Amino acid sequence: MIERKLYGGISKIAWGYFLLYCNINIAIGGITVNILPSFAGFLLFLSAIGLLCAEERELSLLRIPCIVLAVWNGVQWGLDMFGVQTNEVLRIVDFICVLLNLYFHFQLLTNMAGIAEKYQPEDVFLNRKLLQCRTAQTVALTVIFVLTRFQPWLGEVWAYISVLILIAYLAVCFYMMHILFRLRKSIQIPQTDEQGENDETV
Amino acid sequence: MRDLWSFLLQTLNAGGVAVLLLAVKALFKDKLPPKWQFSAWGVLGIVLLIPAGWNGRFALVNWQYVVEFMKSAVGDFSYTRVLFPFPVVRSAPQTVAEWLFLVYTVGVLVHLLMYLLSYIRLRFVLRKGAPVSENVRESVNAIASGLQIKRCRVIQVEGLPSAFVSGVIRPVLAIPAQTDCDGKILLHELMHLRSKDTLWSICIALLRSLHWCNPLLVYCAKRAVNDMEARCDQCVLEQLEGEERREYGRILLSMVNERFARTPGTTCVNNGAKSIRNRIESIARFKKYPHGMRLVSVCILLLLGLSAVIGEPVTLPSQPKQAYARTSFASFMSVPCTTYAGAMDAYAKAVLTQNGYYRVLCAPQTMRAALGEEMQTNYENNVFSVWNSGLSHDPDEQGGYYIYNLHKTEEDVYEGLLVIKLLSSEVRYDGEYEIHTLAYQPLRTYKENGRWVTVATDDFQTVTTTEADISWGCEDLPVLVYGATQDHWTAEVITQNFYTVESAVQVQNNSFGFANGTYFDSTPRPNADFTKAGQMHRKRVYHNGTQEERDAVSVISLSVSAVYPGEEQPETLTEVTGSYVSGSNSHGASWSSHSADAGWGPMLELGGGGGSLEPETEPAFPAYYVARLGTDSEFKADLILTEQKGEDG
Repeated sequence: MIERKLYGGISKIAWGYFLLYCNINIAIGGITVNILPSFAGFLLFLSAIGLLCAEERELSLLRIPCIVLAVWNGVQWGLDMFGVQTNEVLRIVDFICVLLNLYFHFQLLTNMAGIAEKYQPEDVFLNRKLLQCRTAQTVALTVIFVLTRFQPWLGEVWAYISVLILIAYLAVCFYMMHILFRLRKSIQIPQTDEQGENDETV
Repeated sequence: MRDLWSFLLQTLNAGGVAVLLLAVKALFKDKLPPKWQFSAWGVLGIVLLIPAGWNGRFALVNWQYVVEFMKSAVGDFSYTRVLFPFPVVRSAPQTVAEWLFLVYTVGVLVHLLMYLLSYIRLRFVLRKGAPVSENVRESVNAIASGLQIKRCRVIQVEGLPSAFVSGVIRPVLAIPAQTDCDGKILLHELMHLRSKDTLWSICIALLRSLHWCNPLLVYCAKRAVNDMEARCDQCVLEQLEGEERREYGRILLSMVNERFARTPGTTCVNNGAKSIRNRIESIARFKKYPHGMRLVSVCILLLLGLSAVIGEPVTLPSQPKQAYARTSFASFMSVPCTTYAGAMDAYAKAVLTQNGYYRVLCAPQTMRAALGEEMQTNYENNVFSVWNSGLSHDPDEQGGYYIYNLHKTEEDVYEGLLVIKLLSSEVRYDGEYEIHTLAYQPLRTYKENGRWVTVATDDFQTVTTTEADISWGCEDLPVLVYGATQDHWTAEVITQNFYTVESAVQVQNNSFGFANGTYFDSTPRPNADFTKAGQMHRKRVYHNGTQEERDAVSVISLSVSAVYPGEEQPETLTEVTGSYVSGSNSHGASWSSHSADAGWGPMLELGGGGGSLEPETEPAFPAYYVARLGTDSEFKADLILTEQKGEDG
């Protein structure tokens, strides 16, 4: 049962990151819609937190930030869809969510590394790789934000540096998703559990 | 802060950051360690020390607008600027606002005096202190060496409710003489010593005094002191185990009803009943934060600090067509022109659109009151935003504008001619060419109170021209003339420079997304630099001798080169041979020759040229031209052409 929860929780986190980093926009009747919305990713994280907080107690600290981020991403998704411009109040909320987002991913990946340490196969060290991804992601997010603040003074250089950091950031994110799927693979679901579930379904 | 308004601007700006900090701290209350909770107040400290509106930017909210609105409501149209983060009274008060500012300044002094007196009183109490026993000294030294801090003087004082540390340079640890001081309390106080908290408490007291009448900032100062204590509690608890932690909580609880010291330059374990209750709650949920949290704590602090200190640029409000006049007036006045090009652009667009709010952007202080009244009267008569620039006919808004003959007259002062086209109703034909009417007005742009402003130094004048495109110069407009004469021969160069902030916007108005036109965006760009610049020149030769002498010449050549202030004169000029030669280079040199038909004179046009200038370089006129005149491929004279005042220019 524990393994099943773990398997489900890790799957949801990996797919949550997929929704966060991949966007597919389609135009319907003059409105552009992102069919892989970020708020859905946060809802997956929220569901995963419920499944995994027994393993890592500190994950429960992420519940409220996750709800806030899901709501804000949902609002942004709606605003983007209808082309509504953000004003000062929304900019402040957005900034608070940037801080919350930074903390959220840092803590989530720290806890995922904790889970990996317990369940990874021997000599694989997925936990270390997750911690490295966490550090790289936090630094990259910070640098991107700092560069945005210094944009008026950096001129054309800003665009080149930003593109480079964004590429590095995305590379780290996709590598992290790969590690999470590997971690999921390493969770062995006992045969009896699967059998039991099949019986219930029948 | 030199007046009430600048104080308001500073305290509102800091208040905004305080609200943000309180919100962020509430979100991270149980997520980030107490060290972070205290360090976050550093952001507010920096904001309080930096003048609000620094570099035309504000932390999160455009507070300048709020202040300008309040000011314009009481009839004050000056631009508010914070130069120092502390009050400076310059003259005896006369208005209500000046009296209020004086009251505020006196309040600051009273608070500082109170803190100073309480500190002096405390030092007197400490003088009565006696040396502690050997056991206590050894115990303090052992804790100090464990924490790797320098040993400090320890004294015991009769009647002290609890232990505290006082002093920054030579700190003293004072403990009550009447009771045994617990080792955990000593550890707490030495933690303060290690973190230099006596210094921080002075900083908090100073900043609190500067904003004594802002309850939000006073509350933040109190919270900062409490967070300082909570940070030390955390450090102490990290050193203790199980039952000792509970014992530490019990010691704090026993202090709830005791008096406590609240003097800058001191730290005291007891900071009031309510605060102790909060601290005990924190102790109950104590946990050791992992070392890795340091990275995310620093990153969050960095982002908070950058957002609060660097801030957001003040942006131009949207078109104020039907807005309440004073609101619009204040919102436009809160946007400073940060470049001279921005101030000229704002003036030009105010003329092109006849928009008074755009004029406010770049109006000097002496003009703003009248402009404010004009806007308000227009508003009451349902004539929104209209401003009379003094033009005799409607301007061609889509024709854009150029600043001709732009030059720097002295430090932070630029002059030039605003040139615009008048509407097509003025276009007529003289049989062959389309005649256009241009209006031009001399402008002066200078820095006033930290923002660039523009004034017209004369009325508009009009001129007709066959030039449909004024983007490469127009000889019918005022030009600068450089000339020199030798042996009946006069060589002359006329020149103009022209600058603009390009405002053309591409429009896509078909479903395939192809751009099929541009329009002139008449929204001012107060932070812009000139993006397009050019110069035009023409060469002429005069001969004031006899017609026979002129007829004896069949080819005339002139080679010139501009020498700008500070530049060296070129060693050579381009030699011109042949009867129809012309050319120029990017260094301002130009040469040409022309055949002189029989009966020519007394003037012969030798053509000219022009080209782009680097728009970001300082605009200037040539100091002089060097020229070589030749006739029939033979050298005639080397000349220095100097500016001819009072002619066409």
